[in-house]
Amino acid sequence: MIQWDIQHPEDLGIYLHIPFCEQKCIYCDFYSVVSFDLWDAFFDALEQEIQLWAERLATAGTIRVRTMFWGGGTPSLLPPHHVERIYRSLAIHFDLTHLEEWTVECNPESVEREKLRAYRLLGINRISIGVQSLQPRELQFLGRIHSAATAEQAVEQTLAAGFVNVNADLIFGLPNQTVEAWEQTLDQVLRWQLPHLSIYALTYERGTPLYTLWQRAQVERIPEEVEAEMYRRTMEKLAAAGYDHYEVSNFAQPGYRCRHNLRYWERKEYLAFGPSAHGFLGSHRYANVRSLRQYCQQLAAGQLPFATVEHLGPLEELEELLYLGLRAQGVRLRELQARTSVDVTAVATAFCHHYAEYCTIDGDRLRLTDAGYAVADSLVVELLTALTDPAAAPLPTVSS
Amino acid sequence: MAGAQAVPVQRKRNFSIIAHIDHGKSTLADRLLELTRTITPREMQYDQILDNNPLEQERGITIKLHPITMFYQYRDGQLYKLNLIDTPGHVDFTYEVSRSLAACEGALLVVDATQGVEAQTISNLYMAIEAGLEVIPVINKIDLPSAPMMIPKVKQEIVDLLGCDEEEILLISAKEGTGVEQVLDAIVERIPAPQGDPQKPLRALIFDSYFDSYRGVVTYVRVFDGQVQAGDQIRFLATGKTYEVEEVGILQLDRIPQPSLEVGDVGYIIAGVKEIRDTKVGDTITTATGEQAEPIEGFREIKPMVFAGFYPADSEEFEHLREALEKLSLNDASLRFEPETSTALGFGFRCGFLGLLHMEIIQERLEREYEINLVTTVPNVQYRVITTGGEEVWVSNPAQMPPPGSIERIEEPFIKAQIITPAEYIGAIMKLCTDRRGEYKSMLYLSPERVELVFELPLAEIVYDFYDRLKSVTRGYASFDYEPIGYRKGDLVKLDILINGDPVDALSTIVHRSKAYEWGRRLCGKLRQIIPRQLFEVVIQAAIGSKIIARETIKPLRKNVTAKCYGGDVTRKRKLLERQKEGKKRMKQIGKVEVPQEAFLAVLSIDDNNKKG
Repeated sequence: MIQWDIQHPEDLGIYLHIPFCEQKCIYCDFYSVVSFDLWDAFFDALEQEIQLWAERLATAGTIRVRTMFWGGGTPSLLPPHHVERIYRSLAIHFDLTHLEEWTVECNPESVEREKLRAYRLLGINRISIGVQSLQPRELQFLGRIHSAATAEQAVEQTLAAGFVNVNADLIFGLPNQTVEAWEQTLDQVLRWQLPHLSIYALTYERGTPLYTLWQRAQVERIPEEVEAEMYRRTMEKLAAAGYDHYEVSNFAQPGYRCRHNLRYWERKEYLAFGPSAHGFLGSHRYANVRSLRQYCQQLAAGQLPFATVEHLGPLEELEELLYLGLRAQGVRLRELQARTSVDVTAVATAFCHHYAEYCTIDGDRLRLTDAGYAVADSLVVELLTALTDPAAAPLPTVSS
Repeated sequence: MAGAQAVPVQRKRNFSIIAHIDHGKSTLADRLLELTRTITPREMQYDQILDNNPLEQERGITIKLHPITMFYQYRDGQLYKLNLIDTPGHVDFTYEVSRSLAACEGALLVVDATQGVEAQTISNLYMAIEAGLEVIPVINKIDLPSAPMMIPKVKQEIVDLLGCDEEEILLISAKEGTGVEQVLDAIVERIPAPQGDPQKPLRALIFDSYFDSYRGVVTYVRVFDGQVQAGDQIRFLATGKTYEVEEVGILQLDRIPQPSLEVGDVGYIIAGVKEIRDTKVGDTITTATGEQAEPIEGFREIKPMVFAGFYPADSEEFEHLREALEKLSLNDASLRFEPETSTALGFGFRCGFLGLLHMEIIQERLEREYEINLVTTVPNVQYRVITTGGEEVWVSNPAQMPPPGSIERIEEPFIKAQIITPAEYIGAIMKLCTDRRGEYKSMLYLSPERVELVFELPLAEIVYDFYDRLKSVTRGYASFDYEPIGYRKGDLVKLDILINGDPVDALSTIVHRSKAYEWGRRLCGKLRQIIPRQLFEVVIQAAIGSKIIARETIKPLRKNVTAKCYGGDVTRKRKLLERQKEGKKRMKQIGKVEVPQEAFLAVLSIDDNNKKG
């Protein structure tokens, strides 16, 4: 059995996956089912999973949870008493008294004022609304069951219920979408003056209906130039509106960065519950099975429902530091240096010199510019190669 | 054992089989071996015993000769010793064919009943006739349904070609065994016995050799005069080297040692020869002591015709590649290689081949048998450059071409191409050859429907895809053969490719001035498709000297970033990153630009649009 080495019991995050949806969206590759047969079994299993983890971590002493994120699926399908039940079972085993941020993802059609009030009374303090688009044709294409009006109403109701920390998810780069159409949606959303926006380029994920449509040439992807232009204008507009671009797809008003998500990019620990959920403790990453039935069965048998558990060595850690760090607030050179014998400062300096348009060194951090965010994946490959295999990526040397 | 029987020279017969690929040479050979009980059906592990290289079997061609001795009891009750000397079946190996024919007194001309005579066959047939061989015409595959209709026509073609009587043509089906015995009888009856003087000093022709890791080089010979046995001191005339004979014998399925090889015999000699290069095909072996024989006519140093750079995709594989080439050349005297360096590709070898097929075979063997991932440059011919100082420079790598200012003239190798085609394709072939700078020489109607065309062409123009194009424009009906006819002056220029201003030596080519613009434009276009977008703009240019003649631009990558990266994406994303890093390793670095390996063969696929699938 793996010895779970929790590094910071005083600073843990919890991700909880609610695997139910009323309808699947064509682009979504998160795990969920549209049948509610295992609804009750799921909550029993979830309680069991929470308890098993608490037993595993018993030697670590008090475990203080700072952030929680309930995603899905559609967590807003949960009636308040189900939220309360899960919360209680967590509170029995973990210290939730210092919970700073508790996000629940909501779909516009499942948001009602009463439910939101109840959520707030339970301690939820951040709502993330899956708006995605405000163009009827686009919403229909994406397989969303809400309308633009419903989305706008959902935002109003969330604010009316007393939530301040509210996020809207948006998607750009849909087939046939023009830069102008995207800007219209964006302008409309900006009028809501939400403290946080998550804005994603449409991704064609293997296994989704969207991917199949594209493979069969029934859907045409927009040209790279157009997508790049949409992204560039998004960054421009949001900067002008006072948002801080703190991760590739995330924008926040000062003080409203999502603390739970920051955890992922800063490699802080989190437990994960629910089918397909991924957790990170110490030097291990684990993933739960991507099947609700199997999840329930394994827990009923008293086992944690792992699909994979992976141990990270220095190279894996270095890789993670690079691509997670560069996506967000930059990568700390000192942390890289702890995992390689290569002179990180020299490589980073040469790299920034070489790709001046895309990255800068900011104190101890190597970070990307807006232009750099747009090509972050390519840059990461370059930097990783420069750090681990200098012969394959010769950079002009800069005298140090 | 059959091999031990002494047979007087009057009952020896030495012959080859001349046939086009797929016309049934190997099947016929197998039947002959079976009928003479040289091998038992049990030993017939492969269908075709003579093609002993898997690659050869796959391609349906023979590239190596494997002589074999059979003993046949003719109806006169006497035992005859028949030596079959197999010949390779491809234009790259014309010289080897000529030396094999020189070892024979006769040849079977095997023609497919449904296909008729092909260029390859004709060219080898002419060689046989010139060498004074008795030709026995054989029409094979008479069992095929369409054969009865075609046979009269094929007969007429053969009669026209050979000036023989129709009755002399044997009709057989090697597959079913029909008529094969008559072939054996015809060999005995029509092919003359070897002539030679046993009293004269040894005079033997080398027509092949191979390297045996236990015994060293095993030389295949035909004895013309004198005799040879273990203990003899022998001399190879072309190299001047002398050896002591360790063993002689004949070849059946295995080597069978004999007390001696006598006049008219075909067999092997093992004499402590260490390197295959010392046994030159066509060389004469004589005695090292006392009176020596005159060299047998027709010897030629084999010169590679086609050159290409072979580079290991992974630079750490360089030594492994060297070892593999050394091993292959143990058994292939015509393979040449010497180390070279390319700024684009690193350390590799410039290799010389008899032709494109030979190159492809070596390439495939390196990849299959030695598991080397190769980057190959575009093949080219060897140029003769006369400098303004009157010096002669041989250039087998375009990157090594002297600067234009110091060149007085460039000469390129020419070939005589012989094409046999149904008459309806004459126009298409004329156009193809003219496009390839060919000069029409002659046309001969073999029959009302079939024509032999002769052109003179620069070798460079047929090196890449000429044969494919020829097949394409004639729907596969034309056949083709060529022979070198020396060097001629040409208006040639070196075309360089620059990527972001850096010349890529491995992409330099030498082209005719009239084609340089078109070539440069297409090559740049092709490279634009192959080189992926990078983080910066990539400019591809074609240049003659300092003059840019074509240009293409690859716009920089504008967007490449994963939109979502949360808890569940971390591991997946890292695996992707590791794969991307591996992919990057396989790219070649030109300045800052990453170029995929296939770019170095881009020129070869330039005619894609015209080619059939």
